[in-house]
Amino acid sequence: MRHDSIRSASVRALLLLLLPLAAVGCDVVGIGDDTPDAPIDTSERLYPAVQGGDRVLIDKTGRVVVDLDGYNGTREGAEGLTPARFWDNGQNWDYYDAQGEVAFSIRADDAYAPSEGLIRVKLDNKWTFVDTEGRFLINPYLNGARDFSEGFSRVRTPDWGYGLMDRTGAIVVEGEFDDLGDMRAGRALFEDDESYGYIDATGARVIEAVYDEAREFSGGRAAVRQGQRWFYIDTSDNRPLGSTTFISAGDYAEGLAPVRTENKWEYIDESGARRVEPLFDEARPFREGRAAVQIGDFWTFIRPDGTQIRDAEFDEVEDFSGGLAAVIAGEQLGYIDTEGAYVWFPRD
Amino acid sequence: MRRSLLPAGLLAVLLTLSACDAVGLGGDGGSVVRQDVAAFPVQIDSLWGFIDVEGRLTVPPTFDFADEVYGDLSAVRVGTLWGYARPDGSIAVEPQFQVAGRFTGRLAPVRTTTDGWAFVDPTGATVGASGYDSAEPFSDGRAAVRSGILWGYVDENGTAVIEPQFAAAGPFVNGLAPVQTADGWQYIRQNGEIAFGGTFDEARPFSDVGLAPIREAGAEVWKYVDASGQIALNTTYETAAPFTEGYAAVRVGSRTAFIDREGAFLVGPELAEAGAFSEGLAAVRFNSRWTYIGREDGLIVTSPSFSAARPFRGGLAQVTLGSDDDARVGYVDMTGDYVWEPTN
Repeated sequence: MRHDSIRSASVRALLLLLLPLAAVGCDVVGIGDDTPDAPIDTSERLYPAVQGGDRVLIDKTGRVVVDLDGYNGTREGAEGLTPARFWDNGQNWDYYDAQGEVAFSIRADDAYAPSEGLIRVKLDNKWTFVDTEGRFLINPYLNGARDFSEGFSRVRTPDWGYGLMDRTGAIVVEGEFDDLGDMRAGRALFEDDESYGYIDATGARVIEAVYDEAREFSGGRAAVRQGQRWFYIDTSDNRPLGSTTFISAGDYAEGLAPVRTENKWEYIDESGARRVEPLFDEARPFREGRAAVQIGDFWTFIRPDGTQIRDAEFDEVEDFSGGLAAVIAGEQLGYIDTEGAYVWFPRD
Repeated sequence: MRRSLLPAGLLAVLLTLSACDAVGLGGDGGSVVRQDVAAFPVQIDSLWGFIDVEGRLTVPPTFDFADEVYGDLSAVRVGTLWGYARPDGSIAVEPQFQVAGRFTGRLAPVRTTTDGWAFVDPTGATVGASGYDSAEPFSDGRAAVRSGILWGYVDENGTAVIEPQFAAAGPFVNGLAPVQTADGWQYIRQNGEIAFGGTFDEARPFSDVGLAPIREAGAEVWKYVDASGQIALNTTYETAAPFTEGYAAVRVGSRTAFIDREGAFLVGPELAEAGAFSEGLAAVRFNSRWTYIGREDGLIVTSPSFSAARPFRGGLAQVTLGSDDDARVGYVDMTGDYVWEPTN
C-alpha cells in the first residue's frame, strides 16, 4: 500500500546519495514507511556529509569530527549513534558516538540507527536487533523487522507472517494480515483483504477493517479514507472533527496536520481550524517546530505561523532532527538550522 | 539437518563425542569439556603449517595437507602419502599410508598401501590385525571395522572383541552403540551383547546425557530413547541429532531447533541447519552463512559470515570463507573474533 504523497521519495533519494548501494529503507514497501510520530530525538550526534569527495561526520555546528577515509557508506544517526560502513571480509559497520569515537562495530549487510535503544541489522539476509553496545538481543532469523516503536517491532516471521515483537524478543502478536504497521498510540494499522483497521498490543482488532485506506496514528489521531474522502479518527474510532473530510490528509504532529481540500496543501489545528493558508504542492508533518513544504519544484520549511525559514530552493529535504535538517541542492548535500542558516554549505 | 546425521557421515558426530570421552566426562552428563589442543593447521600459499592457540605461526607451511590435531598428532599428507606430524611440525610417523585417520583413542585407523585398513599406535607401528576393508576412529574404547560387508568392533589393543555381523555400526558412547541387524537397528554393549532395540528403523549414537535418537519401525518421526531403551521424551521430531553438552538439534516444522534433555527449546525452530555443541558453542546457519551460538543463552556470538564452520576444539574453531578455489581457512576464538585471518 502506498500512501498519499505526504512524504515523497526524498528521504530515500537522500540516503541513496549518502549510501550509494541498493537496499535502502524498509524490508518491504508497505504500511508505515514513514515515522512522523516517532519520539523527537534531540540527542547530540554526528551527521554524515561529503567534503572533497570524501565522507566525513560533522557535528551540529558544522565542524568535521571524523574523516571517514576508507568507508563506503553512512546512514543517518539517532540516539547519539551514527553508523558508517566499511569492507573487511564482508560489510562491517562502525557506530560513531557524538564525540567521534567508535562505540561498537558489527559485521552486517545492513545496519540502522538506534530506535528506543535497539538497533536493527540485517545479517545474511535475515534481521536481528543489537543493543547500543552491539550485543545480540535475538538470533538473526526474522524475514523482516522495523524500528522499535512504543516497545514493539513489527516483524516478519520465518513463515513470512506479520507480527509484533516485544523488547525481550518474544513475538507477542502473530496474525493473518496482508500487512501490519508500527505501534502508534497503542494501535497498529493492519491490512486485511484491501481494507484497513487497527489492532492493540494484544492483537485484538479494536478498530475493524472498515477503511479503504488508512495511515498510522500520529498525534493521537489517524487519517483514514472511506470512498473518495479522508477524515480523522481517534484511538476509539470516534471522529474528532465531526463530518469534516478532505481530499488528502496527513499526520497530526505538534498540534497541526497538513490537509488538502482543493489543489494546494494547508495546515489545520486539532479543532480543524485553518492555521496555515493553502499554498503548498506538498506538505509534511511538523518536526521540531518546522514542516517541510514544496512550492513549485522546490522545498523549504515553514514555522507553525506559516512563515518560511528561507526561500524554497532545495531539490529535496529531510525533516529536522536534533536541530538540523539535511537539504539537497544541485545534487549536493548540506545542512541548515531551524532558522534556515547553513551549518554545512552543500558541496561535493 | 546436517549430513552428519546420515549413516554415511557419522564421522563428524562420532569425532565430537569420542573426543569428549577421550578427556573423560563426569557422570552427570551434558557438561562442557574443553579439549587440550597444542596446534591448529593453517593453509598458506597452498601448503599447511600450524598456529598455536594465540594465532602465532609456530610451524611454517610444510605439508600438502594437515588435519586437526588429535592425541597430539596431526595426520599430514606429503605428495600422495599420509603420515603423522607432531604439533612442533616434526614427523612422528613417516608418510606411508593411503589414508590416515585421527587419534581419537590410543590407536588410529590407517589404510595401508598393501594390506587394507589397520590400526597404528603413535609410533606408526601396526597393532592388531590388518586387512580390514574399512575402519573407523575409536570412540569409548572401541572402533568399528568392516570385513566384507559386515561390521564388527576392535578394542584399543587392536583385538577383535565383537565379530563382524552387522550391516552398519555406529560409535560407542556411554557404553552403547547403534548397529544394524537383520532385525532392524539395535543398541549393543561393549561386550557385544544386545542391550535393546529390534523395533527401530533407524538409530543414532547415544550421548553424555543418556539419550539417543531413534525412529521406530514404520514411523516417519524421530524420538529419543534412554539407556534402558524406554522412550524418554513425549515429543516427536522430523529429524533428531544426538545430544552433545546437554543439547540436541532437532527438526520442527522444516526448521532446526535445539532442545535440552527435557525437550525444552534452547533455540526455537528458527535455524536452517545446525551442528553439534562442543566447548559450549554450536555452529548454526540461519540462511546461507554459518556462525556460532553460545550454550548459555542460545544467541549468536558473532554475525554469520562463514561458508563452513567446524566444531570448537581447544578454544578455537576452523572457519572457511569463500568456496572451491577461493576457499580460505581461518580460526575464530569463542567470541567469534579471528585469531587467524582466513588464508589459502
